[in-house]
Amino acid sequence: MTNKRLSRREFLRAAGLTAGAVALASCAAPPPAAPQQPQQPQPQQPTEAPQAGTKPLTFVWSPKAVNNPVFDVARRGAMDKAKELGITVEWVGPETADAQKQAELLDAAIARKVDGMGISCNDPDALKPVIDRAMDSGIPVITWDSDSPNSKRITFYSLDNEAAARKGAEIMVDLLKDSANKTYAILTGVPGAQNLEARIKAFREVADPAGLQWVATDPCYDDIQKGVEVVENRLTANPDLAGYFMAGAWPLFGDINAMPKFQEAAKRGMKTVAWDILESELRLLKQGLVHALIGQKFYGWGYDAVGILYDIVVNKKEYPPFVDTGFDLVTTPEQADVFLKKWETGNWRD
Amino acid sequence: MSTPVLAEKKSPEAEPTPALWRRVLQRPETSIIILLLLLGLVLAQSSEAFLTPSNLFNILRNNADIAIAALGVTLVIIAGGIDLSVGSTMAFSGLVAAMAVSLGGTTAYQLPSFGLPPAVAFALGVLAGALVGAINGFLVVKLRIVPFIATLGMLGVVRGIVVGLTSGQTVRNFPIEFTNLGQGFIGPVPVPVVFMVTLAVIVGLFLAFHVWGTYIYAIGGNETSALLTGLPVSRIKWLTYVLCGALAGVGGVLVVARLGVSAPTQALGYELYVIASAVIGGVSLAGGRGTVLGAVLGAVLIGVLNNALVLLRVESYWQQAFTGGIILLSALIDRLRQRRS
Repeated sequence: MTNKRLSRREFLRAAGLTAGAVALASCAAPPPAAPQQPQQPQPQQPTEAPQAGTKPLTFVWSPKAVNNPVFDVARRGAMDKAKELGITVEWVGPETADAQKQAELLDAAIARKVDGMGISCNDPDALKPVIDRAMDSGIPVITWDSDSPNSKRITFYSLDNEAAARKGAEIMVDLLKDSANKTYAILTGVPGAQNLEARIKAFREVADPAGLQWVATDPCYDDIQKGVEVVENRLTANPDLAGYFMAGAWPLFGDINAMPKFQEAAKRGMKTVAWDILESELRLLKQGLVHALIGQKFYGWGYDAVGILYDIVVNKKEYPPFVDTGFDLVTTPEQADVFLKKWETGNWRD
Repeated sequence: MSTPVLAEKKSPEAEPTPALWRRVLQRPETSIIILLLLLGLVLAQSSEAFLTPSNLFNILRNNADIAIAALGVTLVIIAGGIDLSVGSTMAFSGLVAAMAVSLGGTTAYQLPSFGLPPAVAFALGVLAGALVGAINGFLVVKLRIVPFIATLGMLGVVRGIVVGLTSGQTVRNFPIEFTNLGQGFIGPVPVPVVFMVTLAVIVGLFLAFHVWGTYIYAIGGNETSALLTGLPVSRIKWLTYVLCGALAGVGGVLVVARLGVSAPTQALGYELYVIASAVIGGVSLAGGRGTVLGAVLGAVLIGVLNNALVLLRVESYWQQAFTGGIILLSALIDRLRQRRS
């Protein structure tokens, strides 16, 4: 009996210890190195400060995962906009891309009666009930980056994945127009992810009829290490590949020396069109190892989309179901420099 | 790969020197070697790229980190425990080494970097892993939390610390002396493979010839008996967790050096590959049984499988089912082998 009680106490002590450690981890400070952004005149976004005396609005902004650098840029955009508008934005997302966990976190926000939510959905169907619950209880919801089209959300703020992928395919067709070898491969993240599938489908709809010859679509499950392995394996299987379409930037996050076969292929003339404009990708484009990048508006997912929700809540403005952010196309070293500067300064508003 | 790592302990009774084929069948690595040979045969037939040295070294280099972490997990499992936190530990060690060695970056989102010498950064990364292992050992040995739960908790805590410290950003810009640890070659052999073989030999010799190695098998085989015999059970169990953390740390640092970047998603979910490597290599989850060679071959099998899926043009939507099927097949061959022997 005594033994039993003792072990329970020990268990509680351990539980307390673990809980303390978790709390510590979740309280970890954000990286200190981000310099203050230079104050810029703000482009045509709503900036009316809330009326004096009223409680400041609280929006919950939810990325698919907090372990992704592009969402960190979105977070900074959301926080910058919140400061300008004098509102509070809470950054609430699962640690990894997990639809169920995201839904749980958002349910808690609904219970707290926040004033609005902006969500990048991990899964269109899994998030639908939460979005509908929020809307039914009077909390306006918009989606950004990744949609839940059948939910009651007010609007979706994103680039048009298909239009951007079609443009990427046109560039690839052009890059390979003088090449006798027209084979190309596709790298994707998690098979079945809606945005990635849309990109792949649209890319092939343009590339294949134009004479390019698709070889394979390989998944890397959103993992940098796996991405590197898959690309190297693909270039072992098809050493003379003429083109590569990367529906995400995964293997390009790291040092290009981790992919000797890719480097070799690029030097003998393989063309690569890749999604996103991460710093490492921009440098590869400048080195001539990658040939076109399709940039999403990371900062706008926070900055512009918070402005849209504010417009809806405060100014009662109406928005269509889809607001196209457009996309940035980077094909020259000069264009790459423009975006490298943005990464360097953290100023994405120009 | 030649490895003098054998160390499977057998029960002392029976055995009037059985026939060679029977002895071979009794080895826990037999099933995985059969499977590797079969897979190799199919691959060599269907793609001339498979049997090239560059492809084979590529497979080994890509999976050296998993093999090294599997060495540590093997120790823990043989001693009757489990460590689910290895993936998170790999990421944490990688991050510590990355921040220590990084020369700073050019973005507004740069994390602190200290520009320390690569050897120091490497040691700090491994120490960070050993620290996680020491905490795991403390939770299991001193607080008597079931290993599954203790290390599951630590999986979350350590991953949370990595994500919290980085806010999702990556750490990069390393000196070439550091990236050479992951990208370099000694002769034709990639450096991570040299690490893998060296560590496998050391851990194998430790298990086979050091008295503590024998204790590890004894504790995993029957902890109560080991305790009654007066073996230092707590100390040995703790040691296995510390070594497991340190080895996961080596794997984690080598991956960061190879990829040239430390990302908070590094090795996410890799505990499954690491534990699967050990188990399909013949390490028994019930404890007391298994070899280092088996664990390394397990990691190699996972690497060959990934390579095979691409070379054999398996449709991406089916790849996971294919991998799972091969792992089951390996378990089945193991089961048949045990029945035969």
